[in-house]
Amino acid sequence: MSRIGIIGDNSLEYIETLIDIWNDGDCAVLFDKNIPHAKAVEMIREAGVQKCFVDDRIFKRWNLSNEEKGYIVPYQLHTSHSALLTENIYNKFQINYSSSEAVILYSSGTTGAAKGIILSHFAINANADAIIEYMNLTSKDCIYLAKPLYHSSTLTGELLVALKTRTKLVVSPVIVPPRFILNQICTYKASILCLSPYLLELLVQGYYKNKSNFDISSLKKIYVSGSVLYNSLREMARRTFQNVDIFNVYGLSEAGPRVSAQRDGCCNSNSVGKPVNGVKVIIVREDGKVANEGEYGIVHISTPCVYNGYISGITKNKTLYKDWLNTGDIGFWDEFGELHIVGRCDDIITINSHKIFPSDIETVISNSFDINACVVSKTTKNGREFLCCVYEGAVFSYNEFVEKIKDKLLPYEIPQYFVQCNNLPRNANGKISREAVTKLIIEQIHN
Amino acid sequence: MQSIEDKVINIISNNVLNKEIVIDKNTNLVQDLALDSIVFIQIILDIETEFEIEFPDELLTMDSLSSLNTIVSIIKNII
Repeated sequence: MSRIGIIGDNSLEYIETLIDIWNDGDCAVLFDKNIPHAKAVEMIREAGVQKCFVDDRIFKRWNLSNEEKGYIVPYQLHTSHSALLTENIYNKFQINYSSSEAVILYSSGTTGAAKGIILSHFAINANADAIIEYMNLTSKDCIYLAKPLYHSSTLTGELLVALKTRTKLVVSPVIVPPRFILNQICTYKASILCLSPYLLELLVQGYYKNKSNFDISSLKKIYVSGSVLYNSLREMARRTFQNVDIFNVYGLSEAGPRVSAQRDGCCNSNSVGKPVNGVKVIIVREDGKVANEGEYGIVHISTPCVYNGYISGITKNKTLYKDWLNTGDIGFWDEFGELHIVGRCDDIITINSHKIFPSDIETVISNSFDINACVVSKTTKNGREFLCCVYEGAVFSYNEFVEKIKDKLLPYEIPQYFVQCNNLPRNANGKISREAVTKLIIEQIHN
Repeated sequence: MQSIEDKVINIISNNVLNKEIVIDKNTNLVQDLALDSIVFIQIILDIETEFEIEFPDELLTMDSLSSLNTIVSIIKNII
């Protein structure tokens, strides 16, 4: 078994390459298509990838050394726009429940001590089965892929689901304006969309502006995942797409990824629904005792679809309950037995559904510049979320910062704002106070 | 009257948090600004609204629309 990488946007060629890797008995390592060249080479080596297929548009942009050309090869893209999954691809796919490695994914970009989540064929296929069970698909359904295939929820929850049930699947590039998605929904009569909250917001705005241009009567269900769907957006989406059921789903890549989902008859509130088939969820207080209904605690899960480990590093979140997986999410059960997620118990930041470890970004910035210390935090302006960095040391311009760190971080990991100060706020113990830093950012940016 | 280039630069500036970022006609949105895909989509939407145009579907990728010069040139062709 070899590890074979793929880097590219959603396309039929991407999917064929993935299935070929599986059929050859190898493991597919899926990288973010925006990964900078130098970072990609580092991660390819770290993962023990023997060959990496790269979208030919990205291949042409990278200035590869002769040594790198020995294992990084282009695959030619013929379908850069939307296309239905072909009969040939459905026929090529082979169901596999073995425990061997199927895929390696990076849920937190380049950050996090633990990287490269290893999932077996059993994990992703059994998780896809659990998703199929609650989706209630019919022969008339058609799923539209709006999120990248290198995300676990798209890979398992949409592609594998479509392959196993032979449901129609529209494969589409992901960085597109909402009118493009709405046009494709009309063209292909898509009935199911899986979105992050931010994509949903864009789609709501896009549809609201030009309602008469789009006949989206085929759309029946929207599944939302990636981060908590706030109440006002949920209500706005329900008013805008009146004949469409909007369901929250929840999971993490280490679990296959699906853990719970709202479904027909089980979406009383802005919960993330009930556990899917085979998955058990428990809320645990910090003292290790099981939380009561309504009580906050850390979400722990037991699932047959659990990951096989990381390429490097170990998880920071030690279990508080037997050998169950500590998700790091804080949640509670409501009176209907539905799970609610309210936040994180650690420093992880979620921005537009991307999971980020701020300390890793701080390390990159500190190592790249002559500064004493820095803190990366999140702020919101005009309804949009941004990363910001406050640092102690000489003044640099934004362009100077980006020039030095853009080859080491993904675009969404690069702070949009850098605030210089003479002394970072510290607490009585001399430790940098993240709370005070966040206040400082708000003062600087919103004034 | 503002040129097309100035209007596009304004739109990009409005979408990045930091007003000190230097944007000029040679700026590459991906390589120089390292823009996130979400910000990129918002910029495209704002450009389409401002100029009352729609970019052709085949050009709706970060690769095709990453250079300020290219964006301005495409807008001129469409108008």
